[in-house]
Amino acid sequence: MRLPKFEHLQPESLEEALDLLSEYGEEAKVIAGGTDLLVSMKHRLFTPKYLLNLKGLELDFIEDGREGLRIGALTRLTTLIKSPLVREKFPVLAQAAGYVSAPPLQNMGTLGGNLCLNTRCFFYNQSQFWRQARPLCVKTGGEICHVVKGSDHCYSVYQSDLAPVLIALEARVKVAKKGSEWVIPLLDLYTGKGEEPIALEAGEILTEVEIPVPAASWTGDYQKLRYRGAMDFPLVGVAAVLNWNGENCARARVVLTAVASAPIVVEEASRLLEGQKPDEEAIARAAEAAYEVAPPVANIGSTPLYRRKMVRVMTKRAIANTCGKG
Amino acid sequence: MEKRIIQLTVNSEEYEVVVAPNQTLLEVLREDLYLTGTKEGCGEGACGTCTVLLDGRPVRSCLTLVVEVQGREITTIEGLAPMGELHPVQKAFVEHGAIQCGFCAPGMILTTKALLDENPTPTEQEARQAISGNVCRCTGYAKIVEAMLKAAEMV
Repeated sequence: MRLPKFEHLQPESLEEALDLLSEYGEEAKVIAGGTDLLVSMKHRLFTPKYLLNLKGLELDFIEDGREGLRIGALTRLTTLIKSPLVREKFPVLAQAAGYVSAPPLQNMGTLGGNLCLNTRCFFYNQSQFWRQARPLCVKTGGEICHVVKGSDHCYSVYQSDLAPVLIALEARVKVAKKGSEWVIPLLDLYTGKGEEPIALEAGEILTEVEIPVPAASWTGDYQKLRYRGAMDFPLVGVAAVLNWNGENCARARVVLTAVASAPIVVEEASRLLEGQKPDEEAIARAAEAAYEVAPPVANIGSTPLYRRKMVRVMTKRAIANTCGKG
Repeated sequence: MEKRIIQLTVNSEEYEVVVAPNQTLLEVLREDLYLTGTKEGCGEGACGTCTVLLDGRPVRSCLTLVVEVQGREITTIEGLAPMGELHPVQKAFVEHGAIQCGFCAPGMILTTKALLDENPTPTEQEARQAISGNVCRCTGYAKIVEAMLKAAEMV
């Protein structure tokens, strides 16, 4: 498969990159690891006039500060997996990064790229030839959804493994555009709209992730359901992070991925787990709460019913592991 | 879309090639440098037959833009046996019947080399993990893993 034609831009600095992006606007796309973008371009889902390479910019770093850990958006997944700092401070992040695809793609893919993954669907992630057999769907500029008949919006699934973990850790991300930069909670990076899942305008890029130091002692776990032990995107992913006050859970965050167009925070699970020593019943009820808010549809592997049931199972496992009961 | 002249270092040799920005490393290796040991399977990063080593680490050449790898050390399967003498990993694969149709072999062997360079004594689990991104459609994984572990003894 060949890539469509484009001009390749290689900025020397972040400032130059932002200048170029503000100049070219919608006509430009940025490339980091390229493992998601180039496949989409081969499928002609994107045919940007300009492709701006971010690799080489100084956004490949892991720094420990008083506020927490700062990780550059261009940090490779392999670096996250192997970094002694990440493994010591946030082992659950290294764990989740190790579940992404397979080692050669972890050598290429970046943290920023993983967080900015496009949403996926059986009817969208296909070659142009394949897609031509059907009318355009909502995500490709049409008016119908091939998955949910009668729907006027897109149900494509957000399948990052790192986003749920980082949201559970209350990470923030730095966004930059020409002349300014700002910090938003990672959760706000996601619109929940399958058509435009990432809340970045043309000219804006994600430059950095900040993970605050948790106030108390804490534990975390990430559970991923997929057909094979490698390569596959999650069919369901559940991150659980619990802060502890002695034996009691002071704060709990359970976040789902791969069940909707954005990661889902299970608010009810926090309420059910906090302020007590979570026993099996509390964990089961929290898992039930996750099941209640997960609405998968038939647009990636497996069936919606199985995936939804597995939300309950994976949530139970994630929380149990977090409580040391796995 | 302007073509440009770039320098590539492949198997320790310098090449000057004229490329278009939308060419992948795989296309240039096969079509311009005639290094056809690197195969194109799926073309979307899922199968691993196009694996090459970039600064010693396995990557997908089908998802690597050639203009972005100037000045990097690229190793293809041809680079493991420059004088016709097989690399110990290749010998182990031949001796242990780890090659059936051979299409996945370049990727498997390069991935094994990268693994052994980093971890000379891998466990079976680590060997399986290392090739988890490489598909063998003859499904000869048992022999491949056997060969990988034998290669570890030979290297």
